[in-house]
Amino acid sequence: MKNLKLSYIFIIALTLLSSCQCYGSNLKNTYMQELKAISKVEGNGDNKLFTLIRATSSELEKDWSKELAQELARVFNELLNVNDNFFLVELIGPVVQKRSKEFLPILNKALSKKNSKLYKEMREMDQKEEKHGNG
Amino acid sequence: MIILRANVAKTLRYHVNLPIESLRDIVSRCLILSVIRKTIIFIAFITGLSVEANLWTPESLKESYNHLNTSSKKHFHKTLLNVLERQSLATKYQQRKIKVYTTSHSTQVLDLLFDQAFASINDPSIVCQFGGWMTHIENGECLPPWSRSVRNDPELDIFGENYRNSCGGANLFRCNPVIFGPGDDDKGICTTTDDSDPNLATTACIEEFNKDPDALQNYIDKLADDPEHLAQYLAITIETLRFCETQSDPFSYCNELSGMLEDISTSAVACSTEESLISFLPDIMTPFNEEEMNRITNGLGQKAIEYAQDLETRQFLIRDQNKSILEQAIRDAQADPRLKDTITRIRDNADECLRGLCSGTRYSGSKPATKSIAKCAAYVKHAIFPYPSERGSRFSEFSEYPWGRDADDAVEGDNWLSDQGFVNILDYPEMSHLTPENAPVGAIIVYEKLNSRRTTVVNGQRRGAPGHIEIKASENEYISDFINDEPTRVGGLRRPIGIYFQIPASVDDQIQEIPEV
Repeated sequence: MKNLKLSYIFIIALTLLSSCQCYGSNLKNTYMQELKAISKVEGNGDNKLFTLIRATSSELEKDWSKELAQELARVFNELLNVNDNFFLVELIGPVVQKRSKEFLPILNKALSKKNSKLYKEMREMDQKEEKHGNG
Repeated sequence: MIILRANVAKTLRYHVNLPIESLRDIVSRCLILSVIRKTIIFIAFITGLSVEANLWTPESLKESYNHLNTSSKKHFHKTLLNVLERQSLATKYQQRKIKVYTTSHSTQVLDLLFDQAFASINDPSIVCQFGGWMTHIENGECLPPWSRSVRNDPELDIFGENYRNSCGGANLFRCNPVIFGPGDDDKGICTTTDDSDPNLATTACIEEFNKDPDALQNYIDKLADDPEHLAQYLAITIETLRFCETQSDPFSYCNELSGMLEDISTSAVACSTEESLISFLPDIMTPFNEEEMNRITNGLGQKAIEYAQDLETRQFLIRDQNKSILEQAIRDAQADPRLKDTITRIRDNADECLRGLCSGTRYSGSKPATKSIAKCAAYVKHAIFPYPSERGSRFSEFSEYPWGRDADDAVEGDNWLSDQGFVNILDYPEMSHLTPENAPVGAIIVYEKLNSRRTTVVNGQRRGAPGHIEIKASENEYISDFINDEPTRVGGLRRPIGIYFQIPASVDDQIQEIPEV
């Protein structure tokens, strides 16, 4: 009887653990699929794309995945090809701040030479606005 | 025949009688029906019936039940009775909450369930009486009013202030002053008792209250003169009556307390002014307590409903009138040549480097119109308050140019915009539905920045770091120091906090106040 109870507890714990894992990996899979579908950014990009980048960045901050980080960096590079507005750096802010050791090498590899320089300028401008305002 | 004698919970009768869109509405409130549903789904599954859970109604549930074979119906009965039995044991107090008798094997369960009232102490609409305070029931136990979860529960606000004045010692309990009077310190009677036991604490409060022979009459007089206080008293009375009625074996204080509350309530209502009391009653009425309300107020519950309906109609009419006035004011603002020229200016300026604002960037005389240089507030100010040499109508003279450090951020836009008669139309409830996407053309939109350590205080409210400010120049054109084809929400990192138009102060005189309960 005791063994039976223990088996039940084990099965329930296993089910709960696997469902949590599934939820996390489902989110990652969704972001991965959506990012992979972007080969080129149309126009200047839009809030839908910005939201996807921001959400992916937040997910990576919480739960690191090298593959997803590579995909995020690739799409961010595509975005910088068409939109060089400084505030876009905030979109990847969470992963840059919390996972800089892992993410920055991936980002630097993904950014073109031109975008790498641009990214630096954008960050400087963003920090300047944060400090001095925009008036 | 099966007889299921459960505690009579009027709440469930209401649930059953209310229009029900789907069974989900019921099962969210009633464990018994939830089990029926699950059992039928299970039986239907094993017998191959097609079941669509979202489409369950009492009628379809009955029909499905009738289609079950005898063996399945027996299984259904067994499961149901097991659940009822389990529920009857789900309390820490030694009282039976549900009595279950099986006298035969007839299968009229669903008729019985839907035609009669069944519920349990676990019904979420039932709250518990504990020393005059209304508290929650958790796992069949009445939570003490001093517990954090009860004190912080906004759902209990209709019963007045929560338990906050400790009596300053172990085994001392503060009786609710709304019910038992102010005591010596105006905060409520302190009594010596086990403050974790609802029976002992409530009984002690009743005893303390009854020590003063004049207490009853004095309290009735006091309540009759204070309709707001009386409404709170009625709210507690009604829920206490409902709480005591849901139990087959009521708490020991129930008889005495219910009688006392009902007597004081009916007497105080009789002595009070009907008009003033009615205005407070809608606040304490719920879909479940109308019967008790009518009983102890001699029918005022129905009048309160009529009062609330009338008030709602008036509120709707006034909101509608206010909305029309504001929409007209916005149309007038849009027709103002100064706004038209502001839009022209900001559009023309988007590809220019104004007043050396491009310094520190790679641009000097001009820049791409879609490129931001982190000077949105400066460009919007330039458009609204241009130099005298610049063409077009203007909202203000250069001498009043708001260029100081006090106005350096977009989020601080409210300060300098309101100086020039601009009004955040989101502050009007009738306009609070507006977003940057559906705002009228000409709107000046202010955003705060999220996820930032820096904060700003605007009009006494704490806001984020420099966010963004832009003018909606046309349906798909939002301009500041750059032109964007959609609101600059930056993937959710900018939150709109203001939508401004210059609206004359006289409009406020036309806006009527919405009558409240």
